[in-house]
Amino acid sequence: MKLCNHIRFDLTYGLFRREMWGKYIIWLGFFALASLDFAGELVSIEATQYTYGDYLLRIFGGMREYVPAPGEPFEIPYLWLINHVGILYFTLHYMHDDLEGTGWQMILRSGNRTGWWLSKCVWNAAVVVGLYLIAWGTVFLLAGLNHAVWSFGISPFMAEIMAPGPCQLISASWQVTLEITILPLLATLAVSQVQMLLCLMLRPAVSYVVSIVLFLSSAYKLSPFLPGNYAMALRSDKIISNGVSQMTGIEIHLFLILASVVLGNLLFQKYNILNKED
Amino acid sequence: MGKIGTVTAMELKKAFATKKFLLGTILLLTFSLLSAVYMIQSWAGYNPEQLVETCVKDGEFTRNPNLPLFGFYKAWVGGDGLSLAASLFYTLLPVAVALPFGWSYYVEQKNGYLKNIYSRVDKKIYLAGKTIAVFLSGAAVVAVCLSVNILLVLAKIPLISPSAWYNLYNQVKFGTLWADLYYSVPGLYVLLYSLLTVLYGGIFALLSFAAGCWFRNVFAVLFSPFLLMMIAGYMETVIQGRIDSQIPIEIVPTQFLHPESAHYLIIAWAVSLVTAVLIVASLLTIYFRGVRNETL
Repeated sequence: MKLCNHIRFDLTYGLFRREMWGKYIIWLGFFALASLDFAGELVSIEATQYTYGDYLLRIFGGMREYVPAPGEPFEIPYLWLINHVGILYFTLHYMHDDLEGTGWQMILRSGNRTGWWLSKCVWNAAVVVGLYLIAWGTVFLLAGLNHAVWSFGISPFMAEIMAPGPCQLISASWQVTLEITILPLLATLAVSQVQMLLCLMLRPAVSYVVSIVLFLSSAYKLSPFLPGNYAMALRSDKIISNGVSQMTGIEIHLFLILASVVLGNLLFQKYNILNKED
Repeated sequence: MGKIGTVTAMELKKAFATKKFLLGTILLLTFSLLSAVYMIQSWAGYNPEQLVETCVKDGEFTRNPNLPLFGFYKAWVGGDGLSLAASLFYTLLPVAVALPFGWSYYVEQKNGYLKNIYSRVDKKIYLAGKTIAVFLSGAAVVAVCLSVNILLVLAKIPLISPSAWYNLYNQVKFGTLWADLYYSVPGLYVLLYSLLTVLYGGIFALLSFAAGCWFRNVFAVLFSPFLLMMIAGYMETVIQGRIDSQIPIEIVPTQFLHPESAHYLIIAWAVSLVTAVLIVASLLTIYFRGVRNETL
């Protein structure tokens, strides 16, 4: 069985099976709620002109740098966290389910473990991109209905809403198009691929816990070594002087994706595909 | 011992004598230990013996040591609002308590074990025994991890009563759950909060069991309580932002179990209501879905 056949099967069965439609609808509903919530915020501050970029910054921007101090507890950025751990949950069990079902037969009959693994990586990327497209589509639709200006620029009033902290740069210089679009997607995609790699070494439940810890640690600590920081525009060096660089973020995420695909392929060659249990 | 006693004893053995119980405990224990270590390292400099070196000169205090802020009551995991480990402890608590036995009903249904057991024991008796075992396994995980944290912190950090003068820094606001105890009998406050957290260990495990009656995926069963708390956390910020309430009330269990990091006020009736709703919803689901489930 050729690689393209594996991919065709995974994309048709893995993306459009009945179980996935429920997830897409939940995802759409969640981002509709987030957009409507921000629209309510815009009304309460009496903003007259706002952009699509404002919507994306509010929803995908993350949280300001947390500095531990008595009386200032760490607050979990639920909206940002759900975006990432939600997608990671949706991509967690497909490979495992497939291996428990017909996957091992396909591998035995095709004799092509590399094809099967690469096909799962393509499926993983397709789901992540698909869920982001749903999120962006929902946000854009509702922002359009709310008469937002078609621009990825950030309005000055967003500096008050987002309050990036003491190191913030003047809001007129905020040009964060990549930080509110591609970088969150790349971060989810990279961690999702790493999670799939970890599923080969640990139990899927444990690898999901590792992903949650990784994203929560990123929210807690501003560090270039924690990939979640690149997925937060509020931690970008375009918004705060001690922020992280977008180029480094892109390089790190691409490296993580490539490394997990290659390493996963090597591990999967000797992976025991029989007698998988929950 | 009656039939229900035998079934419960059997289920308890299945729940506790497994690697998964150990896995759940290790997961939560890691964060409880890390929180203790972080607090001991940060707060140890405020031990009364060492304060003499840093705050006292010629028999007089050179600066306010702010002792009530750096005692045990601000250092045990429930009082630790600063470390990442404490946040992870409460955020991942629903996952760690579901790991030992919350998934068991789903798996037994899937592998046919239920068919076997239902031909020998009445469904209701079996479900009652399993409910007790699931609840106790979740509660035990939390009890072990909380006890270790409290004992470790107690061994290293002095008991200094919280002072109402420092209310700006204390997240335990006046009028919130057991706030009067926090300033008068703080030991009882810690005990009651620990018991509430242990109770929630059992409740989250029951929620996972209830999820097993609905979902056909082991990961959905394991992570439902966690994802529910995530969504509730976000919904809470949306709702509190929309309603013009003078007293925003905390309704998310993972938030109100950790009083130092709660976003809103922890009010006794809201905690009781949420607790009752979660217990009743999970027990009703287990009873109706479990008993009506045609396994044979």
